[in-house]
Amino acid sequence: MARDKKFFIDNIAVHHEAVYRFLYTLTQYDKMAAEDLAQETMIRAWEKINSLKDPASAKSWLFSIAKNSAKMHFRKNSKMDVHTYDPAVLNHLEDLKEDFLDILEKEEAGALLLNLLENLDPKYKSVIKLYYLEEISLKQIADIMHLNYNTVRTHLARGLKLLKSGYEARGGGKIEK
Amino acid sequence: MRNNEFNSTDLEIKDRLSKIYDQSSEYTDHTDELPIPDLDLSFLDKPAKKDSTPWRRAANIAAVFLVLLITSSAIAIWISSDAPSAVRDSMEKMLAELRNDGIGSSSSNDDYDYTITYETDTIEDIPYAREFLKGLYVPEYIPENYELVSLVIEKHAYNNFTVEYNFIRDDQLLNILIFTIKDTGTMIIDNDETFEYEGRQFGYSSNSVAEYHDLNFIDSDNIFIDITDNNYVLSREELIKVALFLSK
Repeated sequence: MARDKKFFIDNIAVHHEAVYRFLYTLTQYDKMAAEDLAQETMIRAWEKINSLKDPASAKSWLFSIAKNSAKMHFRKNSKMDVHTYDPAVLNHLEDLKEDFLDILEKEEAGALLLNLLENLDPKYKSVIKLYYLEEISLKQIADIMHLNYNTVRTHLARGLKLLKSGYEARGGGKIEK
Repeated sequence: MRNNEFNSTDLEIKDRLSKIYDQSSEYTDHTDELPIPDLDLSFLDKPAKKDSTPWRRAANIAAVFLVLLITSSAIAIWISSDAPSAVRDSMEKMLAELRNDGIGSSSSNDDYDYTITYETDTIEDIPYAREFLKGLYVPEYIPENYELVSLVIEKHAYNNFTVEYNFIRDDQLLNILIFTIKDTGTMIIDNDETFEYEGRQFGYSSNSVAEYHDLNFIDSDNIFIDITDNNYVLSREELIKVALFLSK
């Protein structure tokens, strides 16, 4: 695409809100980082607009730029990454998913589960939401957040485990297998 | 597009969780109430990057001469100062304000303090880029038919810098990201695997779902280098070759 302001505003800038929400989740609910990255994504999109070959794929093209911006952000600000590799939890990941699904199948569980999920430690909450609601693979979450793949899997497993124990502790009933 | 990593349990969780979120006024409102910052579109009115012209190159040369002139004049200060990097940073900041062709500057309050930027989209400007950033890594091997579409160098305070090369072949992007590690010793690179090749320790990660793979390493000066094939069209050996042919 040639540099065309109208095209950019109608087809790219229109996704700014979606990009911001996406980056907000990706940055573990850091509004300032999400705002900066969303702006940076738009500037990079404008600079790279010539590489957009198919206008129909503008949104996915833009989100790939957003992911790269986030990836760079995480790498630039790389702090001590605690390798939270917990084989004991990981070995039960599939069981934990089954337990979580059992809870989700209970009609009355919805509100409590959402409350538990929204109040979960951000590192667990963001992995669960990115994986299940945004459909970003664990491998890709690991890559973007500059975390070890097994750390991300461990976050997912621990998050699900905490949701289960939180549900049971609030009278949701014990999940029996 | 479905996530290929999902199994049937994941899919059911996804569907049920999405429905609960959709039905929940509390958390729907919570999401909707997230204040969305305004998008600043002023960058649309900034002039597009100019093609490389003799005049532009001449301006770049003049800027480089200016750097050399002031740098050499300040050698005495440089050597005797208790804080030579602070002196140099101040000089660079002043210089950045003097130049405006291909080189820009900005200030911020973060750890990088300020940024001087050099941008080009032609390989012919590499000598000027090398003058702008001493010790710039330049790829001497790039797979066939890839063309440089952008090189952005950002110099920050305390000798920190970020370099990003983007090469495109059709709609395939090859990205090389190079930057100083902010806090030496605390950066841990997570890769699918690490291996040693020709005396250098490499990390390699691939993602067949997102269709990219990348190779990275840290050089002896604590500079992190990441080479990403964003379309998963190159072989791993090709990425290694790009890495091996990066030269200062």
